[in-house]
Amino acid sequence: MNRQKSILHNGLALKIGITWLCIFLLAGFFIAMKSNANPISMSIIPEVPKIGEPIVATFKISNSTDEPSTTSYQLYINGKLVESGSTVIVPQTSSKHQYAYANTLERGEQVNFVLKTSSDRGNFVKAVSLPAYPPQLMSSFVSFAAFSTSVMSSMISMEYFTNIFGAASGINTGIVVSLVLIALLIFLELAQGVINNKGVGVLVRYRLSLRNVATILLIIFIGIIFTRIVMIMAI
Amino acid sequence: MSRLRLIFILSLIILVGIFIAVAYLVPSGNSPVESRKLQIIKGDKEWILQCNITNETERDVQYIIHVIVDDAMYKDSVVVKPRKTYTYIHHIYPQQLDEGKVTFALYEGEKAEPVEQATYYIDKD
Repeated sequence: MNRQKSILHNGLALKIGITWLCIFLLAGFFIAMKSNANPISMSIIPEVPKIGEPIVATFKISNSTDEPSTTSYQLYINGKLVESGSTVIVPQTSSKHQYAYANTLERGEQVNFVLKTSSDRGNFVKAVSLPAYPPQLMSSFVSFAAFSTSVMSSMISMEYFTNIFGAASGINTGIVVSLVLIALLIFLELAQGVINNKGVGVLVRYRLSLRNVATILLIIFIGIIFTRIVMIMAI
Repeated sequence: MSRLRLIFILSLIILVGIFIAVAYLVPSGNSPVESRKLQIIKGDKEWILQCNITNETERDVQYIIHVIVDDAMYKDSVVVKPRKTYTYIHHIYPQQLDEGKVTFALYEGEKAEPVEQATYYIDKD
């Protein structure tokens, strides 16, 4: 009787430990996402400019607070100041700025845009490079990713990675994979305790199948992290 | 109910709470309403300065626009109806440019300070 009670006690302690591990992981993710909510955004089109074609730099300064906000800004193209100013933004609105000019750089040469803003909410810097990554690095990673996922026709641009795996949107494939992986790992851990105690046949079969799924997801997850790190380093 | 079981149930409730917070409170990417849009575009023969002014208030608002191309100053004013947008366009030709400094300022109503002020450093060619 005492032994059974002790096993039950240990099992519960393990479940509590795993639950709190999940709480810390999710809380960390939540805090990271909230702190990354940037009041400035910048996009440049086209992503691969040709000589003589127009380049349009668009940046948006948002005010998600309930008070009017004055923001001063500077836009640099390849280190040269091209626009500076200040804008008063009413609550819950944004101010959009566009700078369009003809590209004079040869194909393959990189052009860098840097936006600096300063307001009572703090100082922010946003940098965008065109093309976003050195061509050799981009082609090798895209080839690897396209081959491994069998969607070679769509995985050809940086935009694809940003939309699918980037942190631009709240929920994306990377986050879904991470959450499913966490849930599976929790299940595997919890199931282990139950199997040890009772030896439930169905649970053993599920556990074996899901262990394979978890392994595959873990490989994908590591791939996403690896690609992301390399892309961050390449900026 | 044992103390450990109670702690486990409380932990699960906290976990569910954080899950809901993540699902609903993480920034969704929905951008706020655009109240102003300022553009400068290089055309074939000139630069085009364009500003969309949206009156977010519930009353008519007078806007005064100053465009300074190097030393020459151009003034305009417009009254925008509530919840309406007015598009201001100003053409800047290469022969007007000396230093290449173009300043745009937008004043709203009686306010002494501009609500939008931008300086462009543009090339003559």
